[in-house]
Amino acid sequence: MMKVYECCGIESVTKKVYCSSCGKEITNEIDVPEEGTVYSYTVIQVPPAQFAHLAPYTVALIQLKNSKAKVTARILESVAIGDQVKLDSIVDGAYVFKKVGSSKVLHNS
Amino acid sequence: MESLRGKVAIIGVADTEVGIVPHMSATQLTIDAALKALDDAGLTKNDIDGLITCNSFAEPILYHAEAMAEYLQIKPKLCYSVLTGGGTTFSLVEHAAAAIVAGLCHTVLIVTADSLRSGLTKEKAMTSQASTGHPQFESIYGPTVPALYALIARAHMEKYGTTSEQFAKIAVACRKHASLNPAAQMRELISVEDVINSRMIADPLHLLDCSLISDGGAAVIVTSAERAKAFKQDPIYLLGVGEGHHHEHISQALDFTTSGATDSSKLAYEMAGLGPKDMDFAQIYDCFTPTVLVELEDLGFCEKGEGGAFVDSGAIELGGALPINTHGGLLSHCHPGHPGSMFALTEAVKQLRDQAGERQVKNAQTALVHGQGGIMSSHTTLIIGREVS
Ligand SMILES: [Zn+2]
Repeated sequence: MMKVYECCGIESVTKKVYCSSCGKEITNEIDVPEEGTVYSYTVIQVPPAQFAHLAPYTVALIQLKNSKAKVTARILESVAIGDQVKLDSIVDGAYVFKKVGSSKVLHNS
Repeated sequence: MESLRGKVAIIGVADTEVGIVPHMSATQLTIDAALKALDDAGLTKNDIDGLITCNSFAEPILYHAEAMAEYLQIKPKLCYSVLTGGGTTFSLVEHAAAAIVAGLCHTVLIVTADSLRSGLTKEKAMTSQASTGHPQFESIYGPTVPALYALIARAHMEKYGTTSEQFAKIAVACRKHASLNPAAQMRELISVEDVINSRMIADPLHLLDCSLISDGGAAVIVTSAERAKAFKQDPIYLLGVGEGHHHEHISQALDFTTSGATDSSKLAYEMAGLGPKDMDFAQIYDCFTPTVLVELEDLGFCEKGEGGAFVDSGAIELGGALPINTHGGLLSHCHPGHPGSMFALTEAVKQLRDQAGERQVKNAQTALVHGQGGIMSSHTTLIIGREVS
């Protein structure tokens, strides 16, 4: 499960101390499944030096399932917006997701 | 708040040499731009009682504006630096106008310069830009600045059917305009195919969808409308201005395809009492081609989602309904980082003074100039014109 921090209906994967709506300390931590759909993505061909060994690599924003929060991830396969993805591993603190279903198939069924 | 409409005017503008300028440091470019703007206005440095700058990446100075005042040996009553990315330059104009109207000072020199190309290694230029990434949820994924804008481009393509060709047409138009500007860094004409066939940087952005990395500086001088008529050049009045700030990190943005430009332009139009149709041309921040397309929509030049069709219509080229980036923009004129959009303002002023040579927009009376910084994070819209109606 992944942690999402919630207060006043605002959900984020970023843990902030104070709620931007009510100003109180955020205490509600929700466990959400480690899966979602591709919200947007890019394939980076020209990387910064410290990521050169990975290039080309896909960085995507994932709309988490059962949550309003989005999370950044690297994805192993080539993807399209709307594809279903699932957490595969965490490498140096970075989420790595893998594709488990296509947006195309989903629309047709 | 008292409206700033028609209360101040730009009376001096200047650009340094731009592009690859290894023989000048960032500080030297700053001072060069300042002195040239004074000359353009027909002022001496002692006529300046306000100084606003933005710091340099290549040559960072802790108290930047103070250091520039010291270099010029002026003793301004108002002196500070601002940093809101590419939107910095125009927020400086708004703050200068507010300071003048509030009586804090009467004539403000706004000067910005940097040497991103020659003062930094390519890698350092890249990392300094990428340091805007969120430490936990962006930077560790290795996104470059183009990659963060690519996320926006991809979302717009998916939602509205926008194509790579439509993005490319923006780069083609800017290059066409740069070809008419002897000062521009890149002047050789390019085609849509050239853009599409250029090296992929971060899908769907190709090399020619990305702005340049340059050296250069620009300055403007703002004074009260009452004083403005006494100087060498036709005054160009500030008619409307507004800012919009929605987020810092794009991964935290609530909406990928609509930006704070909606807020900044609404404020600017309201103050000016004008609308998008009243603009004879526009200078729109073009760090990447999709930035322009989203901004054309958010600034009200077309409906949301219609940016691609608007570009297809040819409106954005000289001779079209709304020529944009008549100097060539960040894509083809130059992009020294934070100072980048200042050249859009100096160009707009030259256009409105009828001093733009081969690329002159016929009978240009009113213009919109928009800057944005971060990853669609900070936005400032200016509306300027020859007359206060
Ligand atoms: Zn709350």
